[in-house]
Amino acid sequence: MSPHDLPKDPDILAGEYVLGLLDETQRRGVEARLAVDPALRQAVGRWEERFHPYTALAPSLTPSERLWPRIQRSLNALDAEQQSIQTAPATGPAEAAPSRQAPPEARATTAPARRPERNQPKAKREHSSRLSGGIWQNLTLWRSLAGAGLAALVTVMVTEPPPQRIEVPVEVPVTVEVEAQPRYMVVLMGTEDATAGWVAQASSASQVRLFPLAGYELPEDRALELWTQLEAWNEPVSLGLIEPGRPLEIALEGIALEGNQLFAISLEPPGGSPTGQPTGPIEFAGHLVEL
Amino acid sequence: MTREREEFDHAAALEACAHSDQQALHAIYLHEGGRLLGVVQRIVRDRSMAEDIVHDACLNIWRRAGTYDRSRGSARAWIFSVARHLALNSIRDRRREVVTDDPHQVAPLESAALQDVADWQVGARMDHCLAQLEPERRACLLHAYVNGYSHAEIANHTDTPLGTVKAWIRRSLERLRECMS
Repeated sequence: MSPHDLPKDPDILAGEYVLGLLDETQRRGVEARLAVDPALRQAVGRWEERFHPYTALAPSLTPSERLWPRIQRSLNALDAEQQSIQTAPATGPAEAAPSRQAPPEARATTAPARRPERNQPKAKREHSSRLSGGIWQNLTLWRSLAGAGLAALVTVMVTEPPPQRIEVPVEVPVTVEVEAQPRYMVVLMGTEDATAGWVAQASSASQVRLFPLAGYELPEDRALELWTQLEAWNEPVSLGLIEPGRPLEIALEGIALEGNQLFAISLEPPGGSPTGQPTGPIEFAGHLVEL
Repeated sequence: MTREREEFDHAAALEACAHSDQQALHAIYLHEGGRLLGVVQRIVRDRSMAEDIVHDACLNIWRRAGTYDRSRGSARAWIFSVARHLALNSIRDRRREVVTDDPHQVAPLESAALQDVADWQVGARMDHCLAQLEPERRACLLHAYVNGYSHAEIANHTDTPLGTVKAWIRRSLERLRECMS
């Protein structure tokens, strides 16, 4: 089946998204864009509202008696999990993140040494987190909606190396060394064109290797910055700057990889985000899959 | 049904969920669980998978309730969109391998329901705008929205060329937007 061309008009794109007419990679591209594109988010919201009444066309069904007890068990397990990782009393789910402050140890060890210093005062940091929090929290919302299914895509990627890879102007050896037994994998999809841009894999929970899958034309005076966010965090953590076409090893001190963890790459001023949170558009995003 | 819906304050329930009130989630479930299951079943056409998705949707609603923003739309639409997108993701993943699905094996959306849709007393303005569309184009939109059909499935089901279906839907969305503004 030939791929469906995405509409140029963002409002029509939003409509096709709400109708469920985009294929998997396009859906993920839109979901990643929603996090950083308020106009698109509003457009999606409008179509959701417009079509919502027609959910009534699907006849109501009686759930099995087991369903609610099952949901409740999962809720309790979720709460127990939250409590066990909390370091401070929660004031509500949105506040319950154990790591509201980015672990300072999270650093890209072999990343180009252009990482900006980020010892801004706490008050400012809190402020900036609030500014970007809405955007990023929404990304986590869409992340959870996008949940399943990446595993299938990842399997394809592992068995069939992506063809664009050869065109990448890479200075270091080009071979994508597939880890003997990667335990984790994430494919970062372009938010504009919904094609795979990067793949990250890890055979241990503390070291990630990032490989480019496609070329990327970096606008002048801009830099790419890699971010990650665990489910329980309210804001992402910078993993440092990355260069287009360059593989990279990243040590994740203080961050344990976990399934569905979000990775994203944003476009930032040279030297990286001045606020410690993504300020530019998210160019690539994907979720970690535990293999 | 509509009245009962109005009596339930979805936004307040979501806000209570955001404050870890399990009773609030239970109330949402009691009120909307059956309809959520119906919407999801319509899309995934597998009862146990549909229940799995409603389970996941409830957990999503619970965890994300704090991100719901009254100013951005109705809480009920938000709740249903969570479940619907989970369902859509699950079938898009699953049907990747079976794009040549026999169109006759998928449950038909009763044509009566499609024809009558203009009479639904639900989104009055939208009903009016949908009614302006040619019936076969309106059907394409509802096959997608209600049944979760892909372009190819709509083309198979309605015996219409794929390119025509895509163009109809895009044009219909443009006309709806004009009509709704």
